[in-house]
Amino acid sequence: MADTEGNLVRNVAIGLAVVAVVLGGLAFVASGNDTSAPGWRGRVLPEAETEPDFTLTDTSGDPFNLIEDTTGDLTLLMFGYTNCPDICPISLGTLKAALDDLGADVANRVDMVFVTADPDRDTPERLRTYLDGYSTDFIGLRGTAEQTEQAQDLANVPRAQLEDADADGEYAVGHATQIIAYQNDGVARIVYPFGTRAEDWKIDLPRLLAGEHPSA
Amino acid sequence: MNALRSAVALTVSALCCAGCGADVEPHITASNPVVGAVPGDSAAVYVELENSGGDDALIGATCDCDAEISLHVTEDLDGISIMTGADRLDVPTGSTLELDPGGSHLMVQDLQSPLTAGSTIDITLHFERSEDLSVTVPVVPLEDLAERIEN
Repeated sequence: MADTEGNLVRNVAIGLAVVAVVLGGLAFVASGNDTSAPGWRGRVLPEAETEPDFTLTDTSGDPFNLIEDTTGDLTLLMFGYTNCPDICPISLGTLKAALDDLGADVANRVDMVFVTADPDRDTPERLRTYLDGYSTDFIGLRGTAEQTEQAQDLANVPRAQLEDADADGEYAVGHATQIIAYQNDGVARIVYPFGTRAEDWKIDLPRLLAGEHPSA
Repeated sequence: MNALRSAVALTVSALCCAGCGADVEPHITASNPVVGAVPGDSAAVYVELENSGGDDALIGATCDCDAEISLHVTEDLDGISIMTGADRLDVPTGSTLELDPGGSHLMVQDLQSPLTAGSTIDITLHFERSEDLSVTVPVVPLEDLAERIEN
């Protein structure tokens, strides 16, 4: 009897230990997949970055300085190109859906700036038409090849790479995919990688606009 | 000696397997096709191709939507997303080729009109060995595609 009870206690103890190990393992796996700081859906930068002071040309043909000419309380910056079939449409379409859900009070305080990494093909007209497909409020900027490289350097993203053109003159452009969020103190503490969902934006944007500072 | 025997057995089984893949008729089924409701003239079709037969390869696609389709592979290299054209995408025996956002996809170029969520486009997939495969692709809101991306 005593042996049976002892076995029972031992078995329960072993069972609990196994459950604890499994739960611990699951927690470890979950934390291993989560690269964001608690509560923030974007990727918090290890070091804050200053909003780049570059001037390019907007789709009306006017000079546009990223710091002086953005009017909202949050500037979102992305480099891409209008022939992009995969990354850019999903990124812009998802952000637009989130802004629509959040409403004008939030959307009006956000400046989405899309800088073309393919200025040769992306004329101001093409850039404007492309962005209007998402939002007439999205800002399109274009520079010379040299200005575009400088802008990427200042934004601390890798420079885009243009593939060689094929027989039809078509080429792809490799580009950084994150959207960088500069708050109204001119500092970015968080970026949003490709794959950020509308729900993620809807959680983070109001917090960023409220002046919360993401920290790792 | 045992190690040698194991190595021989492995080699023989690998050769058998490779032989089977080439000899057996491929059998490819498509699932979860989708394309985003892009306002622009370039889009990407995503689909999963499962091959329960012998080796095959996707070598192209055509569309009823009056647009060009080409195979593309997207890779993340040193922080930038690089997309390159591909002549073929292998679908080896017993595998599933997953065309997903941010990865390999069928690039649709020169769309004559924007794709509208709720509609469909019909595409035909061309394979090295299999017969053509027709797939009806639902057009979905772009934000739905973000849900398919694994971070």
